[in-house]
Amino acid sequence: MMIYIDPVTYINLLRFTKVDTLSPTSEPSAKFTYWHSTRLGKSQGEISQQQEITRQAVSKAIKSQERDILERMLNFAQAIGVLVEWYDVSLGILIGITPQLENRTCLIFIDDRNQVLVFYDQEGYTSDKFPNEMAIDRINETLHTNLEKILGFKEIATKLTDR
Amino acid sequence: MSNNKYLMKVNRRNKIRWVAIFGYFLLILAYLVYTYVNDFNEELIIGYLVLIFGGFFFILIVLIYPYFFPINRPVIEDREVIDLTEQYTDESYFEEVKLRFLYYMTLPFIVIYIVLAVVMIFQGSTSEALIFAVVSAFFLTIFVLFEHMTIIGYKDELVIKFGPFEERIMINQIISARPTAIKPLRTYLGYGKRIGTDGTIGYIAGAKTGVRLELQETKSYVLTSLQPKKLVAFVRSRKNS
Repeated sequence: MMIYIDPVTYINLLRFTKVDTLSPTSEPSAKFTYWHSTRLGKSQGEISQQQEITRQAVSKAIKSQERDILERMLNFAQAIGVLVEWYDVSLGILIGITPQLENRTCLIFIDDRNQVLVFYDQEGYTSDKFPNEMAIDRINETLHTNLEKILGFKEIATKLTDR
Repeated sequence: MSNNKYLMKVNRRNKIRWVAIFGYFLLILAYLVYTYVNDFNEELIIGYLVLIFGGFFFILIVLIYPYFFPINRPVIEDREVIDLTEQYTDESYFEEVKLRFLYYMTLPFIVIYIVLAVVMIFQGSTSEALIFAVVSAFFLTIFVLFEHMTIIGYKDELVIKFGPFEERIMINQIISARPTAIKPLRTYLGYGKRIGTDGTIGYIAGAKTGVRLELQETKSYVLTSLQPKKLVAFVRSRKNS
């Protein structure tokens, strides 16, 4: 189980959302692959050489994908009633507040298969040593980072932007 | 009101709005078909007028209703729960959001009617040429007025300009500014200055992202923006200074 989501929000999500589903998507598009490569640190020049297309085409595809990602993340947040606090399109990550869950923070993340993952901050709600372990594992796996398991969502955002 | 209730109420009202609009057009269509098939008589004309005007006022009430009875969502002040606001160093903010949809909806008509007007002049019928020129000018005016929306941020206020509409929002009145997704047709039933399903005043241009501003006295605005994070950073930085 990769998604932490409470039953009421889950029912609302299934009832109302028109933006995405929780099922795995088909093969990621070329646009997504270019964007994902840049989020892993590859330059546009490297991608254009690898794919044998012009640099302008890569730039255009990434820009278009970034708009798609932003719209998708914001739509998803709106559908599950999350108030957006911060996002980074180049990383595919969004952090917001969930008023219906006692203002618990929520992290929306686009993984390497173009799936939207939703994690709720477990800090203070569980007795686990590493409450956000699952979210951090997925981020580390996708972005090839080495974030410590003890971090909260705010620290994740700070560390990723400082990367 | 809890956020879940807000979401449910908004969705319910959305459905009512759309059903009312579709119902109205279906009624008109049915009446047109009926009058086409049968002979036209006075009673039918009166019935048709009642349908058109009555339906129009009904639709107007359905569209304006959310403004007077908004659905308030829980407001959480900026930086109250988590603070990840980015630094905004500039003194002012400027953004222009184009309404591309209008290019496809008006430019072909402008060209067609100008061509028709010229053709009519050469054929010697000046009255018809004049009508075509007026129609073309009408579309041109709409195009020039609503081609783009401008958001200008000054020291203590945000100015939104969209065609003949201009709104000044004092920054110290803003409780929270947050990025949001915008569904122009589903929530606002079109572009321009609109009333949203939940009673927000929307300045809707050609993008599906924007910023939601919650003001004091439960007034809310939704502004289309291509760079919501930057606009939010500007508002929050001005609020703090």
